[in-house]
Amino acid sequence: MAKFILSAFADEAGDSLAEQIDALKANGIDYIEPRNIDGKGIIKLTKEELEHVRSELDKNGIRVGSLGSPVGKYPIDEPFEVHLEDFKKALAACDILGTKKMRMFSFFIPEKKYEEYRDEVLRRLNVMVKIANERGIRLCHENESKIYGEYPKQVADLMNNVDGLYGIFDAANYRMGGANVMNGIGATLKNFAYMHIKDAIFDTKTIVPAGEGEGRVGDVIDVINGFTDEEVYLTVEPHLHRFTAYKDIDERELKGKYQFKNNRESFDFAVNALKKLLKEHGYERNGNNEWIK
Amino acid sequence: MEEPIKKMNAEGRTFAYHNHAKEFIDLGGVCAMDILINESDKINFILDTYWVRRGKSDNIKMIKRIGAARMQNIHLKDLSVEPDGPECPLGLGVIDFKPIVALCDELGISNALVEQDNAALSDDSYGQMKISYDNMHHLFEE
Repeated sequence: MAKFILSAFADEAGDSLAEQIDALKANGIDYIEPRNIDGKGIIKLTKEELEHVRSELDKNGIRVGSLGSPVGKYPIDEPFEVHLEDFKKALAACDILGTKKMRMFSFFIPEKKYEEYRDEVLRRLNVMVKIANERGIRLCHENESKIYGEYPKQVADLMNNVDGLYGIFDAANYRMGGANVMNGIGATLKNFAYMHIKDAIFDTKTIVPAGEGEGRVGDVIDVINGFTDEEVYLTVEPHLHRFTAYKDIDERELKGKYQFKNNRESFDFAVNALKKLLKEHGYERNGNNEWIK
Repeated sequence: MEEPIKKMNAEGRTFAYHNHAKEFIDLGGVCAMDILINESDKINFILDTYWVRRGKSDNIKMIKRIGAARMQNIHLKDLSVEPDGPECPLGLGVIDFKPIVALCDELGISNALVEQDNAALSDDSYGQMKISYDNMHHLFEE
């Protein structure tokens, strides 16, 4: 039985580090997946800025579960070497922030030509995994629109054929592409890392709170619970309200069924939706702030 | 079972038993699969990975137990994570085929067949087969 630990993309609650920490603490979350601080991407921060972030997080008892890096979110036909520099910055950020995990992607693929670019995708990922492993850092691939690993089939390919690559499962990203989420988690379980928490409705291309869409988030959590006895991060990624850095993440217009006054309100709503869903599926929070059944 | 198998063998044919899940039911310290493997050397097997898993047995252990001398064919069929455990395209379920394929390769079990009975019920039967084909192809080429 897994021990689920809540984490979050707190940049969706507020731009500043202080707002992000406040949102996490108010929601009883001890972990963060840092992606943007003060509207600046995590790998754009200087060494000194990262050290300041670490120090503030330490002071507030918040740990970095995994780095919310943008690594691998660029067209596959761009030169690898240029982007390797960003990758190395991300690895350095992991070291400073004290995490051994990094979220990353498998490159934008033109016109869904998966087979054409497969060898190059695998080549790049193998190089990156080797570099990361030498530093003791685990690369965690997130299924995402328009990249090689958008659908379960390609995720299965990556999990089977890139030794040492781990998989993050994101139900909303699968549903936005019309994929079957149970095939998605099946593919990801070969080398499972952890889970992002958001939900979606395919027909309207709408992101909704966990449990309100077609992502079967609660059922997937149950599948994971039966699969591992390890700690598993459930990283809340609200995407319910337009926040400063959203344009860097997804060019599509963000549509929602809820209207929120501000980012913090939508963040709290998304976290509460997950907690409600966990309770509905029989999980309880223990004294270590883990959700268990 | 041995009498008809001997007749088949005499005609140059091999008899191979395809398991489902019921052969793994505990009959008091022994299951039907144990009897078929241990009490005759005439019975060959077509191991079905899906049904081995549905029978809560272990594919790697079963392949090693039976060995290549009594298994020329294996059915690679995946088990979905859905609660009722339907079949699904290869690679999208809970069975880790990489070590299974590597072991078959090592032992010289030469024929691997993808099987997904419910693909015919899908709106996209060909798409389901293509997923299995490509995933199997990638597993064997690595």
